[in-house]
Parts: sequence; structure tokens; C-alpha cells
Amino acid sequence: MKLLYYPGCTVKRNAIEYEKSSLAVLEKIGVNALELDKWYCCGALYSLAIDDLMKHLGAVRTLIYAQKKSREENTRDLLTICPMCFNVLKRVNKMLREEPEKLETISSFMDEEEPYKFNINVVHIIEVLNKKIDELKKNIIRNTGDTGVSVYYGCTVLRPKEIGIDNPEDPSIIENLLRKLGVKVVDNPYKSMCCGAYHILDKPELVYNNSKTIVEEAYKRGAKVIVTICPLCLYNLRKTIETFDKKVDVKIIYLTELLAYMLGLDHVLDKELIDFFNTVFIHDTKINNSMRREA
Amino acid sequence: MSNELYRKIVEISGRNPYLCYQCGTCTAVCPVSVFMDVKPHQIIRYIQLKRIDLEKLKSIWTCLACMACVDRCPRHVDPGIIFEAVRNLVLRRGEDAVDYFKLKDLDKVPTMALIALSRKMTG
Repeated sequence: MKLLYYPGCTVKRNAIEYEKSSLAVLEKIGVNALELDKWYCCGALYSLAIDDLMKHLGAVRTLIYAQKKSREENTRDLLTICPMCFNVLKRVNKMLREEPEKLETISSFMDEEEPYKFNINVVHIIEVLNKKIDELKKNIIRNTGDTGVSVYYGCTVLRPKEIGIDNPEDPSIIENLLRKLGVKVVDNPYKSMCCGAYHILDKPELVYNNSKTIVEEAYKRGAKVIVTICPLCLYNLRKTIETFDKKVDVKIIYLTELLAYMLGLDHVLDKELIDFFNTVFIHDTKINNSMRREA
Repeated sequence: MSNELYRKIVEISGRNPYLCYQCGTCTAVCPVSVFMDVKPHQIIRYIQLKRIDLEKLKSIWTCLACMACVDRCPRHVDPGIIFEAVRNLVLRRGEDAVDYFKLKDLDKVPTMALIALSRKMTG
């Protein structure tokens, strides 16, 4: 399986461990992610005003460049790991397809580019992992025992529902994936409630309020680990835990870090994180062996 | 004045505020409505009445465009999209809603937060 890969600003700067673990997991299960050698800022948030076409330009240029590359590389899928990049690219892609007059206006602005022919398919890493579940299962060398793991989706991979990767009212794609890999999943009704996102910069008390609800609920239900797929959600939840008077014994990590650990890809994980995993997950070698035999 | 604002809101949001029957779903599902003095369904009501005082509707800046209300609005009024139109009315006058000197932990917060905030709060 071959995909074009759009990284975006944050995974190159603040979420290096997310990119590292994601690419290593994909490589392990036979997915070849080809990073674009040229890309443009997606703008982080999709512009909602009808006449605000200017703000879509970065995403449109990225889609056109991916289109050029898609012919060389013979794949139409554009992989994103950042959920905000996923959201913007997929919505812009949809808008161009459904509103030809807007595409025409945008195209006339950048006539040096080739016309966009709607042949790029924007995908998020969860969708890829979900498709390759058998490969993942085959390669697992560590299990996570009875330790509770809770999932936090955030907003942008789910809403608006037209572009979401799962039912936004009750998403379960990540939980199902983890369950199939033998992880004990702890449900959290707040798994798709907004953590407060960019208000961490100007209204942090709002973020602490919302993120507290999310973390406390997971913790109350017995989760020791919360996995997420968004660098900003991860930052907000961790920052919120720091503000608690009473320390809670729960760690926020990326989903792909957990998968990298289960696949034995220790070279992409911090030593500190491996030590944490080794402590929090009680291993039963018998289960490990039987799982290997099944594979 | 308010007539003109109303016309612009409809034009750049593409939504019809009159379809709203004030069920309050938007306010109920909004993850940040507790931080708003004027709640989402109330903003829509002010717009329906063409009593559009931009000073009074400050809570549009609290909205994160998380799409919780847009996904669930039974009348496709889509408050989250109308709020973006109202934000744009202010921003297009050249009045930004952010003071960069007052932002906290700018060096540590992921880049995407700064870009998202700039997208919403500056024109």
C-alpha cells in the first residue's frame, strides 16, 4: 500500500514523537508513506464564510501538488496524521468538487497551476490503520493486560459529519481497533467533546474546564492511559492535569505511541515512555506467546 | 444599520436565520456555552429581530467552530456558521479580536493553536 503524506506544521515542530511513531507503525505493517517534498499551510481551520475563498488557497495548492505527485507515484490517497490538516484538506476537497464556480474563481487566481481534477482522496491515519488491522494483529509482540485505556477523539476527525471518519454521536473506530488488538478499552462519554483547542492561548481557564471533564471521567472509569490523535488535544489535556490539586494517575499519549510499543518499535519511543509502558501494562508472557502462535 | 448587517450575515453565511424555531439544541450541545453571556440560540434570536449590536454579541469570539451545533441543528440554520459570518463583519472593519502580547505560553503551545487562533480572531 502506497500513500502520499502531508505532514503539516505541528508534527514537524511540536509533535515530532507523533510523526515518528506513526511512520514507524505504518512501515511495520507494509504501508509506504511518501512525504510530499512541497506543501502549503492548510490554515488549521476551514474558513466558513462563503466569500472567503482566499483562505482556501494553501489547501488547494497542496491538493494540486498532490495531484501532480499522484501520477508519478501511482496513488491517489493523501495521508494526514494531524486531525486539523485532515479536516481542512478534506473539506476543501469536498467544496471544490461540489461547487464548481468556486473552483473556477480560485483557479483563475492561480493560473500558473494545473487545473484540479478532484482525483485526490484525503485520508486520516486511523482509517489506514483500521484497514490494515490484520497486519497490525500479526505483528503485535506485547499486550497491555488488564490496564484500562481510554480514547479521546477531539472534534476535527468527526465533525462536520459529512467528512468525519466515524459516527460523530458515538465514534468507536479507535476503540474497535484497540479491542481487536487485545487492549482493555474504557469508554468515555466525553470522547468527542471539544477540549477548548486554541483558547489555551487566550482563555486557558476555558480549556482547563472542558479538559478536566474529559480527563476526570476517563480516570473515574479506571483508565490509566488516554490515547489521542491530536497534538493540541494532547497538549491541552496534559496542561490541565498539571493544574489539578490532587494528582491523577493517568497519562496522555498518542495512539501511535501505544501501537509502536505493542509492535516492539522501541527505537522510535523515548526511554521514559517505554519505562512507563513497562510499569503500567502488566505482561503475561503466556498470552503473548499464544497470540504469536495464532498469528 | 442593522438591516444592512442582517443582509451581510445572510449573504456570507448562506444560512437563513428565520428558519430557527429556538429549540435551543445549539446551546445545549455547545461545549463552551457556559462561558458565553449571550447563548448561541439567543444570538440567533437577536439576528432574527435585526437587533444586531456587535458590542453585545461578544460571545461569538468564544465559539471554536467545533461543529457540534452545525451537525445537530434540526433547521439547518447552523449557528456555528452564522457566528463566523458575524465575526467576519467585525474583522473586515479591520478590528482584530486578539492581543498577541497577552497570549500565554506562546513558545510551548503547538503551532496549530496559534494558526487556528489567528484564523478566527484576525481578518
